[in-house]
Amino acid sequence: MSSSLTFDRVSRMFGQSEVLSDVSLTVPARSLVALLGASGSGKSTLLRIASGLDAPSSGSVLVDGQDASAVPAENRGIAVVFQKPLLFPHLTVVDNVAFPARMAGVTRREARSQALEFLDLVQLGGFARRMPGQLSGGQEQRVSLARALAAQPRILLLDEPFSSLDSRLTDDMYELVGKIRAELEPTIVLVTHDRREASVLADTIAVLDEGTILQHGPVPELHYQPATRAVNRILGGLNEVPGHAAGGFHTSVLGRVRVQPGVPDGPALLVVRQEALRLIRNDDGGTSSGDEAPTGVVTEVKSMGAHVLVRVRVESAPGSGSTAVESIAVELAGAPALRAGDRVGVSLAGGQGWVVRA
Amino acid sequence: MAPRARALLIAAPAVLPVALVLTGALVAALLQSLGLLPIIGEPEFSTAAWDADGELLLATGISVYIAAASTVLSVVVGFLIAAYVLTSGVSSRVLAVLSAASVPIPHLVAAGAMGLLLSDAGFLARVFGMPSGFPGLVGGRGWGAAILEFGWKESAFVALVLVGSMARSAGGLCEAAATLGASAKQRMLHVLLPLALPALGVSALVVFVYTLGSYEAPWLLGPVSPEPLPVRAVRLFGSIDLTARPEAMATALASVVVGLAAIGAGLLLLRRVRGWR
Repeated sequence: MSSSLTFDRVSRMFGQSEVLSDVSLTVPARSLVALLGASGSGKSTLLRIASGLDAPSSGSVLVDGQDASAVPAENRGIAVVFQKPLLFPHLTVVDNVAFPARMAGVTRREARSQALEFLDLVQLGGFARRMPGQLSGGQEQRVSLARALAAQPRILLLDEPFSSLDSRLTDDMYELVGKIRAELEPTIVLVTHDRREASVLADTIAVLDEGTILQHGPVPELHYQPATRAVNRILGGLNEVPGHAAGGFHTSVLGRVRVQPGVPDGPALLVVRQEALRLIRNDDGGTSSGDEAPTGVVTEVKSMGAHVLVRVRVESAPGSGSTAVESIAVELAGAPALRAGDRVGVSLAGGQGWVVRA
Repeated sequence: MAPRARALLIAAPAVLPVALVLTGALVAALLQSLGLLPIIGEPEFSTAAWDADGELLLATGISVYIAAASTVLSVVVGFLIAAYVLTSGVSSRVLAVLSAASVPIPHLVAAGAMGLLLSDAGFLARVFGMPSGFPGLVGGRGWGAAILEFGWKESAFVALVLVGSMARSAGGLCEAAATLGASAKQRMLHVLLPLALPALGVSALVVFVYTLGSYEAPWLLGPVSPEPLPVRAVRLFGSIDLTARPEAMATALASVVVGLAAIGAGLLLLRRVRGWR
């Protein structure tokens, strides 16, 4: 059975330091919400409060609308997969997974039988008799996930469980989480500092910074319509172009760009994803082709594996009345033949921009 | 040079003198106990010191009883203290400090304090108005005061060993167990106790062997007769009757034999405990 989880104005003080401040967030049943933030942002504290391992200084935690603040961790029906697998070293793999059932009073035989089903789910059925010390890091984390699922929790909390795995194992674990969601439909809260992980796994992302939730919304919304500069930066946005908003348009070195409705007139930052920009190159090294795209000079070309990050020094268009110069980042697929000093045009895909307060 | 040979060579300056002194002392004690190294008179082989009217067997039984009871008490109390310290918050630190504070107190002082506390005219008896039925813990047949003294001192030792061995893992594993539905009692029995078993076994062995050979507490707090092995050995060794020396040596050697047997059996058992190797 999957349940909804609600944090209602949760705060947590450690001495004089406020780690969480008035956090309110609802995780609908059967959804996967990622809590994304840097180290020290309070995301793990929020998870510990949800699981009952820590108590809020004020506010409450609701499970299916019922206040769970006074319910001890063992009775909440909320299982946690921690950053470390935390397998019991004195128990075999199957007995680790059978642990929740044994604690609930199920016979050893029945508990092991159920445990084997969960081990099969994480594709470790053949490792049942091994001791935890005989497993690799990825296998240990799979067992840890199977053990948490074997508790048949109403809500599953994942506290950076894949952060110590290599990229191939991490991708395997993402597949596994997808499979588990399809088969069991649990409610999941994922804590992570990895925006890619949050984007790959989550239905919605809540961005946490210095103990407060800055924005909670679907993955594309957070990337392309961030509420603040901080959200843009946490989601990996590299461009915040200063300019002026007026009449539904933003004017900057990138030219006059249509922005979201309801933006008050005045100074504003145009946030534009580096992946949403294109470069237009003139073979003669002159300005861009006649589409009025702003132009600039390439200052850096940095390889990012299958992509390259190009930094372009963009100047205000002649006759615009401005002398502003901005460095704009553009991420391109493949290996474009660009070098520092090349002159290029910069264009915004779709022609639609998003501004936040300066 | 092979690493093992190098390690042995490095340890040799410390190990060899100890081994020489220990072997020499044990051989000399054995020879004296068999009448082959008398203080006075001619050497004459005799096993009389080893079966003096069953007194040695009785002393061995008493010593094993005191050591076993003290070990059980220390292990149980030490484990409970460690479990509390490892799973509780600020208040547990006070308990940890109190436990650690009792470790450096000498057993002689502790035994004296226990006598003043528990004797039939002691502090507790006076607090309760000198009741006629106050239990005969000091000088009584059950060796209660001596066992309590050992239990008090050694439980702190056991707790320190357990806290040291489990400090890094116990907290996280107990939290994981709690989120998997284990109650506080289940966490103690199914997580902490199995985790503690190797360290608990080793510290139990240390406590058993120590209390088996410890002299002060049984001497101060036990009855005059019968005597446990160390009390008997010291009395006979210090006797003005020099012909009692073989019995003193036999008594001392009996405690060595029992101690070695306990260590051997204990190590065999510990090998079966997962996580020990």
